[in-house]
Amino acid sequence: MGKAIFKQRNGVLGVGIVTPCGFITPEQLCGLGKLLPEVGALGSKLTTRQTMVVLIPEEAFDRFVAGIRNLGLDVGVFGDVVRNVKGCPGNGELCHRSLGNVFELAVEIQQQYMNQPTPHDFKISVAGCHRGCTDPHCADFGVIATGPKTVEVFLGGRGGSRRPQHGQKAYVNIPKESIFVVLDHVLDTYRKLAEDHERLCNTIGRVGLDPFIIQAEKLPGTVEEDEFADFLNS
Amino acid sequence: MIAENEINLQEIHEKLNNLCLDGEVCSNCEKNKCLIFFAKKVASYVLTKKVTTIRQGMAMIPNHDLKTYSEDDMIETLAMVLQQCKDCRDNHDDDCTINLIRTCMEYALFGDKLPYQGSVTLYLLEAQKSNGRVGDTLKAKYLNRKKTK
Ligand code: SF4
Repeated sequence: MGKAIFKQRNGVLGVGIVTPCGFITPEQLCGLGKLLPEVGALGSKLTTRQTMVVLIPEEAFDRFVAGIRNLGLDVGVFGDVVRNVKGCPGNGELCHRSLGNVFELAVEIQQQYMNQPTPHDFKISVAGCHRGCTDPHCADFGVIATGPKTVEVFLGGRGGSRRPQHGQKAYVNIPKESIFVVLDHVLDTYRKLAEDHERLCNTIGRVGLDPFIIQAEKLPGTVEEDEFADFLNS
Repeated sequence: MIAENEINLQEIHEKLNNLCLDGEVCSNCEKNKCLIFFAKKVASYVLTKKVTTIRQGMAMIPNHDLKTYSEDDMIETLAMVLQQCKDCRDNHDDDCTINLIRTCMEYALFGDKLPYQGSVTLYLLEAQKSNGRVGDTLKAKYLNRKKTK
């Protein structure tokens, strides 16, 4: 387990700031606008994982961390843990294309699971539709909304690698509320079956997808197609 | 794949409602064995439940319905449906509610479903290939609707 603090070639620290799936309020943005010059920051960089890395002199680290915490932000996580969750703005108020309220779901997953230890880094991406703006196929655990109450889950994706691969579709059209049961099961199974520092895609490659699957009838919640069949016959 | 607030099925629903005479003409309403009844149900489900896809919807289409429908009305409805299509290309989903209604119209018009590749332009070419006369009328109606709306 570690914090997202990276010593750069020129000696300054790159410190990753984590937010609820990339969402930053105007007040936080203004606060960062004041804080960065105060601590002598050289600049900042938005990352592909919806965090912001700020480049600061090493001696300013404590002041910087206290400053971001005052703004309700924190230093991100790094290493063999569940990383911060990438969540798209798919919800009832933002993206027009979203099929379900996934932004809230992504934030909840991050709050519950971020920084939990795993055999290798474990990345989660949540998208509100198949356009997949958060690259759910490239995550260890990718979630895509298929309707207001349903999602599908892809397991074992890996983006940044010499051998990138897409996740395999593991759960089709399951009730949204069952996602926590599925994620608990996937993490437990991964911890039990993975070899040392083995990425999920390799564990799946060795033992297959089956141990990671919970049968649909054992998942909590209901899906909507049954409702349509009733509606059709009414 | 499209979002609920992008689809406007109100007009299509009204059209289908007018086409379905609820047993007044058909001596025995076959309900979900009838293409129009099914399409009408999909449209009203979208309007009440605000969904964009119906899982397994494609498998539920009553494609054994061999009744003859008014060609003009079917083409008109198909043109309306095409207008709601979002050209989603790679993200096309067979169980999309628009696709379901379109497929019902295809069975009624052509006796079979046409391949849909997520693009109205490609679709109009397919319709033309399947039946030149119907394809030409459909294209003209679609373009006319696009111009006036
Ligand atoms: S994944 Fe879909 S819902 Fe999410 S931001 Fe992209 S287009 Fe919108």
